[in-house]
Amino acid sequence: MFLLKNEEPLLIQKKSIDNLEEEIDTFRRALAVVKNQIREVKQKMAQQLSENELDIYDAHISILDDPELIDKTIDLITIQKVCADFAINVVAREYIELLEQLDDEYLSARAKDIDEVSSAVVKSIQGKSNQAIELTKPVIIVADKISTHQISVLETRFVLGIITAQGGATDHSSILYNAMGIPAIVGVGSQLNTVQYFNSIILDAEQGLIRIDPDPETLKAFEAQYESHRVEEKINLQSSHLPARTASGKHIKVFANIGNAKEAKEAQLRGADGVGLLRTEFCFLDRKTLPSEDEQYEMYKQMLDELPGKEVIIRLIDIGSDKMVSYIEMDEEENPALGIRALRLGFKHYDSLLRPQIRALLRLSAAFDIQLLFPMIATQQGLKDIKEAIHKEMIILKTEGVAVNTSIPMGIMVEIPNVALMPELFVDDVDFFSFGTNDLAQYMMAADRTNTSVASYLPKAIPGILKLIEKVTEIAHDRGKWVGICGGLAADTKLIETFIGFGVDELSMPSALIPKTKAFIRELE
Amino acid sequence: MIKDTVVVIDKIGFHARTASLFAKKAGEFESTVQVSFNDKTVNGKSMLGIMTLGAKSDTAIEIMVDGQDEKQALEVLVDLINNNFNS
Repeated sequence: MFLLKNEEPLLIQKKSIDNLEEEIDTFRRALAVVKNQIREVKQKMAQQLSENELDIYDAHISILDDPELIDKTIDLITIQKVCADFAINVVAREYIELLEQLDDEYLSARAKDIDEVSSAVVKSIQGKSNQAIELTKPVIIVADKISTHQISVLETRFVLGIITAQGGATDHSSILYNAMGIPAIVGVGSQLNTVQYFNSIILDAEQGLIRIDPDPETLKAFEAQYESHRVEEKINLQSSHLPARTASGKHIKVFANIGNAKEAKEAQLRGADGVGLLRTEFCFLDRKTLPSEDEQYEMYKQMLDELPGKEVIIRLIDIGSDKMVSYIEMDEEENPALGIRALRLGFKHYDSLLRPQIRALLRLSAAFDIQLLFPMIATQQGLKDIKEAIHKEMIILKTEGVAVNTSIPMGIMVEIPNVALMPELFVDDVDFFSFGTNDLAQYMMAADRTNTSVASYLPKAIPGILKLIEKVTEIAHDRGKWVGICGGLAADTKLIETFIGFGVDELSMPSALIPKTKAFIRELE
Repeated sequence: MIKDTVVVIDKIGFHARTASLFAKKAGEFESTVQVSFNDKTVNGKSMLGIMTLGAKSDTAIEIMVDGQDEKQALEVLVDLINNNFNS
């Protein structure tokens, strides 16, 4: 069992400030950063949760978009000359108190939402990250309360169950437990405080039953029941480490999408054949300064160490658009998804942003089986530029005496329609293509994928995308190149047979879906 | 400035979803929008503000709109509530 200590209360001091503009800027940037965190978590959960459940994240975003909340905070900063974290906290408290006074269960649950997102803004202003619960073995978590953000980033394989003192059935946390299949009992009340860390606990969420220090017989009976359930899960997992072949022997690689060391471990555990998309954004988000080359080297190495002998495809930086950072000057753009993002941003700040990443990755290329994937390529020139930059760094590193794999495979994302329509322009200069179906759908349908009011357009792109995948695969195979899919469609069981039919070489998806997907492929003809 | 009184029919009242829908709609207009209930007046473009009214089902609220597009805005917002937020 794991007793989660209450988080240290946020220390928010009333400090007076001189530079009003800078403070307001800090506030606005923090809003943007937290909104992006929420969007990211939402995206991560998209495959586990239903539309309705995903609304939780939109509700959190709309709090941060609230004009009153923003104006009142800025007024407070301007009039009283106080620091941004103090100001947002005062304003948020006002709303929380007002909602709690209403004596309405539903609205006081919303007060918790305001508390959670405003605390996240305060943390972002103070340069603290949103605290994750670090687990190392399977436990029942006992806590006063857990934030939706903490739940969303939980390492679920270590979570046997959750018991919290606070909370109710209408809480967003409860909705998430259900959706994620975590046995949980919430709102137990202050009697939970008597639980000690050495107690053993039986948690039977189906019966709504908690037993602290059960007698040996009860425990034994419960354990037997629990064990049979576990064995079943284990069998599924074991077969997942074998390659996925259809009955007629067609083989397709099933890879994982990962974004940090935790997910790398998860990929290994779930039987990923490799990694089809290693997102490097985690190195850049949630921090106040640019990561140095050495820092990045360490972060990537940590992930690669979790994946011994595996083929790992690493995508170069894709920030900008809906993923922003505070330490790089980003101009306000009318349409950031169509603006200076990914490598376009990377080249704009080449020496501080892109070059350290290229060097860090090349330094790892001799020891690990890595390949480089370039995001947001639209033109031949764009591809030429990044390849030249990489070759230049290879030469410099070699003169520095660093071992480099000079024939490191390089590929491009197929997410901009021009690439999908004209693969022949690129095929001779790449080793592979990787379809980013989410962005491709957004650009094909002219429907912003972060805007829920146009969400219904995106699935309509599927027939068009299938056509493009077929064509690109044909052209790529003609020249001995391979094709993967790393967007949301890769794990769609309605489409996998079609992909295999096209000859797609690799599918990359969240690790949790790999055992299921491999089992599904084995059932195919 | 023009105003109108409407009864909120939604079965929970002005809660997060309905408040958010109202605020979003109000935000589409240039005019200022204020909502009153129980002697309390809030900014109609703010979901948080509207929620703090605690307006439950079957209660009458007053909407006040002021600005160039006030006529159209009031009409749209009153319709929104009368149609039980099915825009």
